[in-house]
Amino acid sequence: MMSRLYELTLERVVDYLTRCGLEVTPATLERVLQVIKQAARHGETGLLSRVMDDLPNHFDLQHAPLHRPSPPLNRRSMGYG
Amino acid sequence: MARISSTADNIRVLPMRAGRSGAGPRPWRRAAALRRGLLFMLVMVQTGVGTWVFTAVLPYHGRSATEIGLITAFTLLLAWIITGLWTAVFGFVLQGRGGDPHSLLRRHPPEQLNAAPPVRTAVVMPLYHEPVQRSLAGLRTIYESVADLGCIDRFDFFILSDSRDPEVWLAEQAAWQQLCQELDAFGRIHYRRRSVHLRHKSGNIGDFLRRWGAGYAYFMVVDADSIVSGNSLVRMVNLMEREPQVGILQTAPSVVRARSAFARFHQFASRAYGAVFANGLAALQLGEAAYWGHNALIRTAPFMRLCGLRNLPAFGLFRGPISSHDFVEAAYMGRGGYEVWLEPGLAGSYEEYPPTLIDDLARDRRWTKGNLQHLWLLVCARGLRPAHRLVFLYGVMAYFASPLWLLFLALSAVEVMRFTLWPINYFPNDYSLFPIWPHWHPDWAIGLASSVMVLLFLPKLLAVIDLIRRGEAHGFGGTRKLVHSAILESLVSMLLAPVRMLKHTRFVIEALSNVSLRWAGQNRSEETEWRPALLHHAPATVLAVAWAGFAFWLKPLYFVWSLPITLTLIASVPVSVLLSRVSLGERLARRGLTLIPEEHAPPPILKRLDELEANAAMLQNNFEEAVIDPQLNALHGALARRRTRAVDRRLLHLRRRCLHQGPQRLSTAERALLARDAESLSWLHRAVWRSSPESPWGRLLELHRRRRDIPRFADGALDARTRGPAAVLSAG
Repeated sequence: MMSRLYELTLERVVDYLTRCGLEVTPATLERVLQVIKQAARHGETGLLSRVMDDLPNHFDLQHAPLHRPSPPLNRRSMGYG
Repeated sequence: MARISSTADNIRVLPMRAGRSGAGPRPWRRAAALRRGLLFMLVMVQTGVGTWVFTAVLPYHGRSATEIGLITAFTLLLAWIITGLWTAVFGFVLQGRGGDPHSLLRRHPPEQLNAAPPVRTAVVMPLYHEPVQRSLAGLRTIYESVADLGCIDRFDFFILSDSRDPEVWLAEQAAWQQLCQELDAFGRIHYRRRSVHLRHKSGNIGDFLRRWGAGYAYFMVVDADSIVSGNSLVRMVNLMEREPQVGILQTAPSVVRARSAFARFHQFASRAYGAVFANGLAALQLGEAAYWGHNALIRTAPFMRLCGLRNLPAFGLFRGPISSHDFVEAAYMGRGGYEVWLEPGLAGSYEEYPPTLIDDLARDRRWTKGNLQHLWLLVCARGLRPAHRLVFLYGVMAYFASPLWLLFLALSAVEVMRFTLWPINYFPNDYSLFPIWPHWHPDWAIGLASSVMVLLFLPKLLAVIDLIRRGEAHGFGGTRKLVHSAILESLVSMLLAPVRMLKHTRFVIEALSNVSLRWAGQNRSEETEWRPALLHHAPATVLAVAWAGFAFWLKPLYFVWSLPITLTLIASVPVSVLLSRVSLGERLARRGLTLIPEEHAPPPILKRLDELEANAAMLQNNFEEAVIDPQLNALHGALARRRTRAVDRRLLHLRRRCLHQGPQRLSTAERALLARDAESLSWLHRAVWRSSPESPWGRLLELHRRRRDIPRFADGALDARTRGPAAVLSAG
């Protein structure tokens, strides 16, 4: 039962990191496992939340820079001839 | 790269009515007056002769109320048909002479055009629930085509969304970001979604103009299914720079990329006959042409000053926002002294056609209402040019011809009934001392009907002759295939004409009774299934069966005369379904039928669009992705509304419901509410990744993970190195 919980946590974290654009290498996995291990010390309850909360402390999860979708406003009115 | 001067310097505005009070009448006005006068005379004479013959064919020669109704309907319809015929003849003649000497394109040699100063131009694409990948692929091809010319610095691109379904606009936002990343076009391709949807497409464009219009000398509207090559776009800008009195420059887009048989027939018709008709129309309208709503370059400043559309002030249909804005905007430009030109010589302008008859009719339904609204402006708007009033009339007749035709058929039936069921009335007029002997001339009737058929099909024949004489038949698969395709297309158009007649009649009645319409994006890819076809066309089929039975009971000869209409209506369901089939369209193409030059030798811009569409990934479950994916969540959060007030209880409740019950349990409006709120998106993202595997979102995460093909460690995908630590963890 415990094994399944860790597997699920590992899968979830790897999925998240992949979506963040990180390449999941064996070294990354080692670090993930360390994070899970640390979180597991406080018990199984809330393991997933603790792991997810701790991730930014171990990985660079910054997103691609966000750009303005539109140029600065240059307001004029329409004429109703 | 040429330096681009500040945009404000480049916005030159003509004084009001510059065309009239400027340097005297322009030469094209004289040509327009002559050509229109000639057209008027030809139409009047030919219609007069036709009406005289028709009156003679009628038994009482127009001395009864029924016959007066018949003659009136016949006269209007004949005038309409003859106008179309002579428009094509004008185009045919001018094409034979190498083009119209008055056209804008012939005024300036290419080197003079290329020397025009660079100015800022916006390409705007209004969207409303359109296929996202196709629309943005179209915009991308335009962008790349302009970039290839080295002119991209002069152009900005705007995606103007009015989409309300979060599944659609979240996909638009994601696709916009991806497009900008791939082209390194942040700051050049912009995305804007209105939260208040006023006045449909014209309101969307008005919103763009109010916010950013002042920064651009020109803007071009492209629809979700239309594209323009960079060459054409730059040429148009240069042409407008050389012709400061031109307010709108409209291209004649060719229909391309049709796949279903229905769309292929229209594509063929547009490409094969379009040149003759468009050239004829351009020759008659000259500087007082219409704007078709897309693939046209518009001078921004006068458009903003002159083309705000007030609500119609009257009653019913004639009260509220104007649905079909383009004709009105052209008329207002004309009223302000600017010219509006249709330039069929501008190649590289393309659009797509609805794939099925049902989609085509849905579009006609909206256009019918819009065009009939123009009746109010035709009569009441002040200061419009007569030519633009005629454009309104032309638009009205495009749909009003159908009820006229139906009226004509109904009165014909009444006439037959009178002679079959009732004794002959020798005194149809009251207070007449002399009897009138009804004369019936079936040979004349056959002659007249044949003449009308010739009038209807002569323009197509002229167009085919024009293509052959200009050596363009090879693009249509050769002369033999071109002729075969034209015959086939004519048969299909005859097959569909009665269906359109009934539907358009209904649309006219609906419009006049002011039945409200739902504004909808177009279906651009689906085939018609049997059930919707049955629901759509069954009334016409039932009516046709009843009509055929009645005609047979009344008079077998009348039954035979009615067969072309009744049979096509009875067959409308299978015809609609079969024509919507892509496989049938592909079969036609394989046999070399309905081919067009763009298929024979595709222009680079169309090839690129095909490539992009083939490689486009399907965007689906966009709300789920917006919540789950960290990158998309950040993007949508950045584009979402940032509340200044505290979050309300309803939103808090909705978030919790979404988390605990899953997104499927929420309505579209509820999902839209969450997706519009940056804080809710972020809250959900955080909560979802922490949710238990058994929860709705936990299951969705697993589903999305499988779709992305991320390995499951429990399935043995964990390699030997990590299996060790995992085992250690498992062991506590």
